[in-house]
Amino acid sequence: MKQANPSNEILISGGGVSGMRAALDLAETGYKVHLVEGSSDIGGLAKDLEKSCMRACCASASGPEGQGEEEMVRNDCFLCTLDPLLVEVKTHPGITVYNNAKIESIEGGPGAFKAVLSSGKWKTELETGAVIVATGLEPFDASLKSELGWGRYPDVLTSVEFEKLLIDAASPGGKLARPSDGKIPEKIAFLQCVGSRDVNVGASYCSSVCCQYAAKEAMTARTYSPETSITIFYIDVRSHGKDWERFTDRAKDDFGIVFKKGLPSRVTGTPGNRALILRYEDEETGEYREEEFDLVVLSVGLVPGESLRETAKILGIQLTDHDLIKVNPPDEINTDRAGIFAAGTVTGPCDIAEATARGSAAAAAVGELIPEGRLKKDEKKYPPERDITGQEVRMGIYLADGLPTALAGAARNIPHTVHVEEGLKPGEEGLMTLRRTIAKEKLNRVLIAGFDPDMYNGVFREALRETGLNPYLLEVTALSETGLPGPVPEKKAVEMLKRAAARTAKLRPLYDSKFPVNKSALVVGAGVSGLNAALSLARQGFPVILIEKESEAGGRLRKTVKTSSGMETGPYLKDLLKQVKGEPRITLMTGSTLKEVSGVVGDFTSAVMTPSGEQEIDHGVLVIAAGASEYRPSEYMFGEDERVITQSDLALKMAAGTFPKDKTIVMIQCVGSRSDEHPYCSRTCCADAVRNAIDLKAQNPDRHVFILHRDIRTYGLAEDLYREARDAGVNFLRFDEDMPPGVEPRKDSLQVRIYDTQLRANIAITADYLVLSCGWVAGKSNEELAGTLDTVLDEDGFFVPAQEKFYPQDMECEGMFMCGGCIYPASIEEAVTQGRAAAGRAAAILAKEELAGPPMHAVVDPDLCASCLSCVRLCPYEAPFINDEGKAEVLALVCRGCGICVSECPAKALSLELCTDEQVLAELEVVSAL
Amino acid sequence: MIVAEQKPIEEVLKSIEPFDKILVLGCNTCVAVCMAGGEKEAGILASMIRLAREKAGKLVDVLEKTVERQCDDEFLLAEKELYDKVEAVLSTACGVGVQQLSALLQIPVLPALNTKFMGGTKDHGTWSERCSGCGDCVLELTGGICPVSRCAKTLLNGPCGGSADGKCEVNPDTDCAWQLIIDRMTALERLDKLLEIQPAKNWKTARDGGPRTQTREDVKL
Repeated sequence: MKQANPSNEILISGGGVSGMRAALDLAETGYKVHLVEGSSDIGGLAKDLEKSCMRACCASASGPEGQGEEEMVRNDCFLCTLDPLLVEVKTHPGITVYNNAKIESIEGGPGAFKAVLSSGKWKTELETGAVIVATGLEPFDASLKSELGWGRYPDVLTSVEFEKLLIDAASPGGKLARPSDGKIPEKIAFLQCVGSRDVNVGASYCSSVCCQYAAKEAMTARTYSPETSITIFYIDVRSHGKDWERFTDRAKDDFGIVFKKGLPSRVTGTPGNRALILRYEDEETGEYREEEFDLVVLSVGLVPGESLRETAKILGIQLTDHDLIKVNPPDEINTDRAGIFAAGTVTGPCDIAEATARGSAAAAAVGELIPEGRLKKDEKKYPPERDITGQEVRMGIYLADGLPTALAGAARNIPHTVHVEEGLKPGEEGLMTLRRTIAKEKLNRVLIAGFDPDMYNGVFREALRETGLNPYLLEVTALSETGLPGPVPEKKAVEMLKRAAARTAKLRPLYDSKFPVNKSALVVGAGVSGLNAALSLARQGFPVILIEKESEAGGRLRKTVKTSSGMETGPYLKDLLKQVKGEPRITLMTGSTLKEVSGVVGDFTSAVMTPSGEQEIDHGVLVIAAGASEYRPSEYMFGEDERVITQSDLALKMAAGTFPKDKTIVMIQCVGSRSDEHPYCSRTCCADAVRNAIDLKAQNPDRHVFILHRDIRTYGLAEDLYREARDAGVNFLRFDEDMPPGVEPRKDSLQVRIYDTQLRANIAITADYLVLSCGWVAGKSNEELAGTLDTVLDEDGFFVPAQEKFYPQDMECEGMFMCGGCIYPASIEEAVTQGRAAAGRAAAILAKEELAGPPMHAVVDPDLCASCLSCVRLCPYEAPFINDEGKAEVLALVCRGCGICVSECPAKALSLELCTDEQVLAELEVVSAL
Repeated sequence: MIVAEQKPIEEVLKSIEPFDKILVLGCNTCVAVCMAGGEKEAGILASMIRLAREKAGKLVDVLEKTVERQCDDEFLLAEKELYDKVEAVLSTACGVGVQQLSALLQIPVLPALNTKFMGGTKDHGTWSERCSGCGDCVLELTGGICPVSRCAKTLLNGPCGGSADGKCEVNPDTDCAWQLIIDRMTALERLDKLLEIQPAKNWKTARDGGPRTQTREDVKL
């Protein structure tokens, strides 16, 4: 039972991608978060990945010397944006991070758990309303596959170790060097599925991410060492994520990376020679081959570690046969103990974007459980602000602990300086010194040197505010050219300090703009993700208007029978609709479409066309859940011969009991997917086909079922289904993209011909039914919606997240979110999670009474404005507009402070208050005087 | 607006060569909007002059100022003390501004721009001529497309034989104004209007009648 006065403190175990996202969303929503991380730093597996690819992501970047841009990896991995995320978590006032710590015990129930945290040094007890487990999975221990030579040969590396090699290659003057002798490897082999899809060691499931990271690592390696040839040995290429298929194609076509089907069984060394010998069967010829490589990378999978088992035991939650946290499909978040939630890979392997979504969804789950928790936030009281108008500049310069002492002498000679403090430490001690001296010396400008501004601006500004000084009279400088604190020659440091001081002297008091938030949401699309988003938001206490263009809610749930994991969708939908109906905060409007959206985050106004005419709706956030459409094939005589049906037709027929039990079935995969017209993987069809095949076999084990495929992509836990199907006697035949199967209608059968690439033979199958696994295509409404929202779609017609890895549910426009099939094909489980994730993200806005826009935006001097429209035309975010006075005005909440308009304004009417010309010129004067 | 473009820098430098103290005076109206002579452009020009003269070893003192409109004395006279400090003024206004200021001062006022035409913004950074100021508007007859400014021959009764594929024979990048007029009138279902023969245009209202002055007695002080 939930307690009457639930705690608003939330405990999160695990500081990886998922735990961080949950922590931030919860803290923004108004909960107090305790983030417990077992290792010495947060960031999880992602922080150890090679991120130098950021140089390649950036279109303007050039590659390593002598290379054209076309050779660069452009994988838009966004890993470079992990660092700001880490900083956000570490500095958020609502989050306390405990490194090297773990949960020792937990008692109580939802709303009122008592947890004991401990590290080697301390032990503490706290009350918490809910717990999120996001401890993640670990890379497979490659030594368990001793035949692959890891640990025996120095040049056999795991993919995690190879990332480090790439980081070294990316560093200035670095090169791709193999560990044994530092030579550039001429030939590299990647071995996939090490510790994945393996019933003997590691995990029997597919780890979901290795095919993609192997391609990324291979492409990055080629970028640093173009003369290296790379072969990836695989069982199936699983590029089932958004844009992954194209990425893999680029690896093959543009980077010349060779993909070879079949896994080498053994890696051996040669005496007196560093070459590694791989033995494998060549699929093309069927011959047994031995090939030498200089470096072998084992693409290790993700497996549960001992700590997960331990955590589960302490928390009293159940694990599955895979030793993963047990959830109840289609839900991926709720564990079997109320008030304890799972996020990230602990419920099954997934990529960064999915882990992020699960983190946001877990935050939403907490909000649903204890919505009253976030209301307990107390407003902090500050002393009244000191008026500094007309006062002479009194600057205090604070030097970080460890900076050269000579700087202090230089600082004392800087004009306006009345106080110099050396050895400032981060943390409360330093802040106390800062507050005390500001008050004592009556400082009105503060310069703090030797700290990362991104990380410390927040805490130091807060300290200024606590002394009654305007927080923007502060300048934090790293005192290095990179913007991050680091060693810098003394002379240079002095110059930089003088420059920063010149800027500081010109700072003026600035104020955040405040905007009230309309605490309601508009959700577009009442399919599986939209329904879940609406329910979650309503349970978190926010009114929701849910619009659906069809006459009935349910989306694809209405057309499916069961999920690939076997859950029946009919009863699930019925229950979902019942919940929506029973939720007074949700207004469901069917037969309605979105016509227009105006306004900004927290204050949108939309026009919705309903059957009874146009209606205007005010709302604070928007969630797009428009779904996708099933591809209607023109291939394989579909529509011409009634024995040719789709997988969904088959499922419906079987459920209705009208499908004959003795017929031979042939299924063809990738119909309308991975084609020229739709060059992406539709993600769900392999698992759906395998599920149907298993059901067909269950009906009658003696019937023949053939699945003709290019790669079987039963990623993640669905791999178990693939194994089950093979055990049940389903025949899998592989064909090549260039040689698709042919169908010939006979009077009483269908002749299906295929060139089986594994048998290297033509095969003819006499079938009674041909079942086409049709992919998903972007919904027609996407284009219309994109027009209404003034956003762009990707080349396949799907919506594009603001940032695919760490903000997969956010749209470019702040306050707009999206989930489900309108972004990319998703399984029902994934759509449920994404819906809840979008709700988690949206709640972080709706929970606020008002939104504060820091003065990072451009401002217009109306006296100078010539209304030339340059800013209006040039702004990428549509922040400036011409107001009723006929002058330009910048919407503070929309402006990102990029400065484009400021530099382009012909009348120089625009400025960035935190970076005025006056400040820049003051800095330049110092430089020119040196 | 009046559309202008900056003169080649060599020409500007030559014109100010004799002077050691000048004022670059920007205009914050039409030429600011067409990005030729607003505060920003005037500032850039001033910097270019300083750099060029420093390089040439002949330092020059360049003051900068931008006024709201150079075609009104009040705005110009507000900067009186600046003119006293310099030997010449380099105006980044259109030809109107240059003359307006010149009439007020005893020192040379030099143009920094070439004034081009009266036009509108096509897209950011492109402007097209739309009006010649003929003093007798015919747009009502021609579907809102001006044959006086946009037809190379200022024809009033349909296109000439040089119109091909909708383009003008004078310049293949220029649309034939009459093609545009006919398309537009067809769309408006007013094509019959063009059957009416237009007599020879009275150019007395245009430049041909000599420099023009306009007076409105009712608003005169």
